[in-house]
Amino acid sequence: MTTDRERLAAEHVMGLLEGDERREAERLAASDPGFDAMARRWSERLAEIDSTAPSVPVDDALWRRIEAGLDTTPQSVPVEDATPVLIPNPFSAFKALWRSLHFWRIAGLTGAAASLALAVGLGILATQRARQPILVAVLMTDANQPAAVINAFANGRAELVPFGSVQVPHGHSFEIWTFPDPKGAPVSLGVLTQARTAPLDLGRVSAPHADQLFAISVEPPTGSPTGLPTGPVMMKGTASTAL
Amino acid sequence: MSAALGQAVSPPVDLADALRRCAAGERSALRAVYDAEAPRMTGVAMRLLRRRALAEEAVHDTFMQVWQRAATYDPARGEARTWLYAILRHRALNILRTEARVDLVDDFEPLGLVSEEENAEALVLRLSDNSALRRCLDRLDPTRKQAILLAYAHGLTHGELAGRLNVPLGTMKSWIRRSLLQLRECLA
Repeated sequence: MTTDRERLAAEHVMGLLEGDERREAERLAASDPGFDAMARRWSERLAEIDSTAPSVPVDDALWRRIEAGLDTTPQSVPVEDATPVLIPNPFSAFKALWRSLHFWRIAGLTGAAASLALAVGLGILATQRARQPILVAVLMTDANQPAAVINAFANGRAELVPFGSVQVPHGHSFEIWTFPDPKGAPVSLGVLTQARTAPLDLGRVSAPHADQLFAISVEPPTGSPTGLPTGPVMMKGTASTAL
Repeated sequence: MSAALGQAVSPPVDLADALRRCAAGERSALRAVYDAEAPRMTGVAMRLLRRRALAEEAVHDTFMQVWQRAATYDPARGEARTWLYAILRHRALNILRTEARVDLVDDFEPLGLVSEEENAEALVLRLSDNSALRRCLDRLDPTRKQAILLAYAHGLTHGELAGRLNVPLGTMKSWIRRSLLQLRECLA
């Protein structure tokens, strides 16, 4: 194999891995689109071997069990018009510009255009510094469409910003999870019954770090009954340092 | 084994279209996928898991996931059948590696390697004559070809393959690695 990652992807698709390597491959498949694409190419290369399996007659009892499960199985909502990722919110920057102009006009500093431009520039800089997240995680759907952004700020706050096309399935909630330790259990950051911008509760985890995995699962209306994800994962992504 | 094993039992179904209709909540589309693919899926799962009950569990769970995730299938990113069987294999391997391991060790040994199901040559012969994968597998050393097929079809790990084929673990790992590299180049 040209790289160890490619070997891991191929052997993961082969089903050869166990223990730590298997967990590492699972983690990469969930968090690294490049690794996921390599694994998909290996699936395509080897898929034909599955066609050599014997056909085993199945009865209706298995279908009835499947059908019975559908009533309690929420369907993922397709993300149709994926909004481009805009971080931080440009609208607040625009408002800051407008407010700066307004302020400086009232103060009577209608002097040189150069000083006005400088003042506007300083206003935007100050706003950006407060709004600038230190870490950003873009959460992608299984179809590799961006569906939400998590911003973590220097003051310890964090927020989830879902895109307009995302909806919480009726009668369910979105629960936001993170994996402070890649090999450990996920920690819940909150439950949402509507897709809207919301603050996240980072109280239970230490400051997030680059490459930390975030994911959103579909859960009952009051969140997971077990404290761990129970429903399908709608979207996931890893944090990157914001420049 | 009859030649019919290589053929689909049910009339062909446009799987990509069926998945699109599943995403829209049409249960009849999921039923169509079941009728067309569940027998083969059960066969794939039984090769990996050996037990009918476990294989049916894997197929059941796969259809649940297909129903949940049909909207995320993107025809631009690959064949619908590959998507379907990747979910099945992932679920079956999960059962094999994490849930049924202790059980399986007990009754794995008596099955041996000699049954026709585990014979790599018989398996290769069921690939179509003009299959590129078949041509490329046939270019591998016979023992390495057997290792690749036992791993993929029957879910053997490096350690199990080393034991079965009576070579040191390190040798088996490098055989597999080189064989996969050869396959990738041959299929490119």
